[in-house]
Amino acid sequence: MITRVDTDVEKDEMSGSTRGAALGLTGLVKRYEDSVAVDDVSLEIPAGEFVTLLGPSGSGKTTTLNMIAGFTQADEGQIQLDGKAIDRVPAHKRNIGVVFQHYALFPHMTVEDNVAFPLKRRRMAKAERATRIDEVLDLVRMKDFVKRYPRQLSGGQQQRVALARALVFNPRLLLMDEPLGALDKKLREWLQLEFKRIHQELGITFVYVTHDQEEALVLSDRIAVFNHGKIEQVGTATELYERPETLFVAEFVGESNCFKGRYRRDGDLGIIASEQFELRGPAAHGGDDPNAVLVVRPERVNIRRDGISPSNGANILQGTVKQVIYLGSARKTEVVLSDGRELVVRESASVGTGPAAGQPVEVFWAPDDSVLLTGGASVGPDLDQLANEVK
Amino acid sequence: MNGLKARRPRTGAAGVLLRIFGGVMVIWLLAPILVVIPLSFTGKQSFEFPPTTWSTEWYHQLFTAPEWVEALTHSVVIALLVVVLAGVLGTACAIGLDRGVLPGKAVVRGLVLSPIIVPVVIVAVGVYLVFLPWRLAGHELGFVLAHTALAIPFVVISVSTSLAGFDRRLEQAAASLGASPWSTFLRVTLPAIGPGIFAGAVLAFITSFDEVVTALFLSTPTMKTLPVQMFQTINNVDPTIAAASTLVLAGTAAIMLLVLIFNRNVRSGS
Repeated sequence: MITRVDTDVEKDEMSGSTRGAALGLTGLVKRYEDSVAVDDVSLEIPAGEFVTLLGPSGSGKTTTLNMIAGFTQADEGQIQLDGKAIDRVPAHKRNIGVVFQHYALFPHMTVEDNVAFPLKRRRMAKAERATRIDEVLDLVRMKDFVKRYPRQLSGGQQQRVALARALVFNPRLLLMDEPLGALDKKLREWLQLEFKRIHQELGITFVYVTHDQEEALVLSDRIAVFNHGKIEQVGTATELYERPETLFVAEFVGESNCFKGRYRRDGDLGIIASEQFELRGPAAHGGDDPNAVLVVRPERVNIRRDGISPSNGANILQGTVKQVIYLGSARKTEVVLSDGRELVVRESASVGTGPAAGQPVEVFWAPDDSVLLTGGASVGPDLDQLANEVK
Repeated sequence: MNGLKARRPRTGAAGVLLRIFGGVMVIWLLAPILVVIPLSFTGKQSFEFPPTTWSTEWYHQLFTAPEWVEALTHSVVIALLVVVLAGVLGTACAIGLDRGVLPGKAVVRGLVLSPIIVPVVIVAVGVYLVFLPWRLAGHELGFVLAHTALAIPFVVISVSTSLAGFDRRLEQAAASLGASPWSTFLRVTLPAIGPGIFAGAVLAFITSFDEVVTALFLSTPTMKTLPVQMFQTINNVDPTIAAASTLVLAGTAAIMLLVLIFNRNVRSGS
C-alpha cells in the first residue's frame, strides 16, 4: 500500500525525493473593512511537517489557511510552495488538499463519485481512477461504503471520505480547518490518531487549524499560536508548554498560575515582587520591568507533607485548600493563598491522599520550574474571548 | 406524549365540525373549476348545466378549428420560450443578487420582483405602448418578452431560496479539488439549486400559459394565445371554451403532479 502510493506520487511528476511540499508564508496581511484579520504573519514549514495553527476564534488562523488554499486573496505578503510564489495561482490550480469542518461532501454524489471528482478533473483514465479510489478509501478505512450517499454516513465517516477526497489526487500539502469540530470527544480522539497515522504513512505536509489546544498538542510536530491576527509563538508542544514566550501562550496552552509584579535581576536568578510576595525564577531576557509575570504550571507546584518538602531556594507560599477535584488520573487542588489570590496544584492521583478542603497548606516550587515573562510578553489573553472558545 | 395525542385524528363534535368545514371549503374552491369538465362533454351548443346530452364534439373542434389550434400552438410555444428565457435570466439574476458585490442590491431586487406587485393591467398598457412602435405587438417575440418579465420574479424567488440553503464551502471544496469556476458551477452549484430552478421554470410556464391581460393588449386577430381566444369567444355560445379549460386544467394538474413526484424523489435521493 505504502509503496503503491510512492510510485504514484513519482509518476505524478512530483519533484525531488520528498513527498511533502515546503510552505513559506512571508508577511501575510489581510484586512477587512474595519479590522485586520491577519497582521504580518510569517511562517516557514519544512516539507513533511505537521504544523497546527492554534488560536481562539477571530485570531486569524482560518483566514491564513484560506489564503494558503487560495480562497482568499492576501492584501500583502507572499505564499511560497517549494520556493515558488503561488499568490497569483487560482485555488483550482494549486493542487492543495483541503478538509473542511463540515466535510463539504457533494450531497448529490456517492462516496465513490465524491472521491472520483478530483481525478475526473485531472482526466485520469477510468481503470487507473478505480485503483486510486480503492487505495485511498482503504487508507481511510471506508472501502465498504463506496455506493453510499453522504447523508447515509455518520459525521466521522463523512470526514474520512472528505479526507480521502482531499488526498486522492496526491497533493503534497494538506490543509485541515477544524476537521473534528463537529464530532464528539471519543470520535475526535480516535480520528486524531488516524490523522497522525495517515500523516506518517504519506509523509506529506499537513497544516491543521484548531482552537483546541489539547488537539494541537497531540497532533503536531510544531504549533503556531495565533492571537489578534499575529503569531505569538511557534514551537513544539514541549517548547510551548515548558517555555511559553508570552502570557497569552502560557494561558492558552495548558493551565497556568500567574503572578504579576516588578521584575529585577539577581545574579543568575530573576526576582518578581509585589506587596504580597517575592518569588524567584529563571532570569528573563530583558532588563528591569515593572509589569512582569511569573508563570508556573499546576503540576510543577507541590503541597508540603511527609516526604515532600522544599529544597533550598524554593518559592514557598502559605494558603488554605478551597476545594479538591478528583480527575481520575490526577487530582487538582485549588488553594487560596494568604493574600486572597488563588493557585492550582495538580498531582498524580496515586500520590497518597491530599489535604482536604479547609486545611491550611504550604505550597512550593523550584525557581527553575517557572517561567518569567517581561516586556510586551506579559499581555494576557482576552479572558472573555477565551471563555467562549474553550468549552 | 402530548405531541402524540395532538397528532391523533380528532373525534367528537369538534372533529365532525372540522371535517364539515374542510369539506365545504374544498367544494367551494373546486366546484367552479370542475364545472367546466362535464360542460365540455355536452351534446348541445349551449352552456346548459348539467348537460342533458353528451359528445366529444368540442374536443374535436378544439383540435381541428384553425383559430383554436393556432391559439393553443402559440400558447405552448410562447410558454416554452418563456421557460427557457426566464429560467436562464432568473437563475443568473438570483446568483448575481446572492453573490454579487454591486451596490444597491436591494434596489435591483425590488425592481426585478416588481412585476408581482405592480397591477398587471398597468404593465400591460406600458408594454403595449412601448411595443407598438417597435412592431412587437402582435408578434410572438413581444408575447415572449412581456411574459418573461412577468415570470422572472418567480424564478428569482425560487432560485434565491435554493441558494440561501446552499453551502458555499462546497464550491471552495470543488476548487481545491481542481474544478474550474465553470466546472464547479455545472457540477456542484447547478445540481444543488436544480430543484429551485425546476420549480421556477414550472411557475414560469404556468405564468405565461394562463396570462391574459398583457396578451389581450398584444394580440391581433391572427396572433393570439389560448386564454385570449377563450376570452374572446365567451360571448358566443361555444362549449369549445369548456374543452379548452378542461385541457388547461388537466395540463396544470399534470405539471403540479410532476413537481410533487420530482420533489419527493429529490428528498429521498432515489
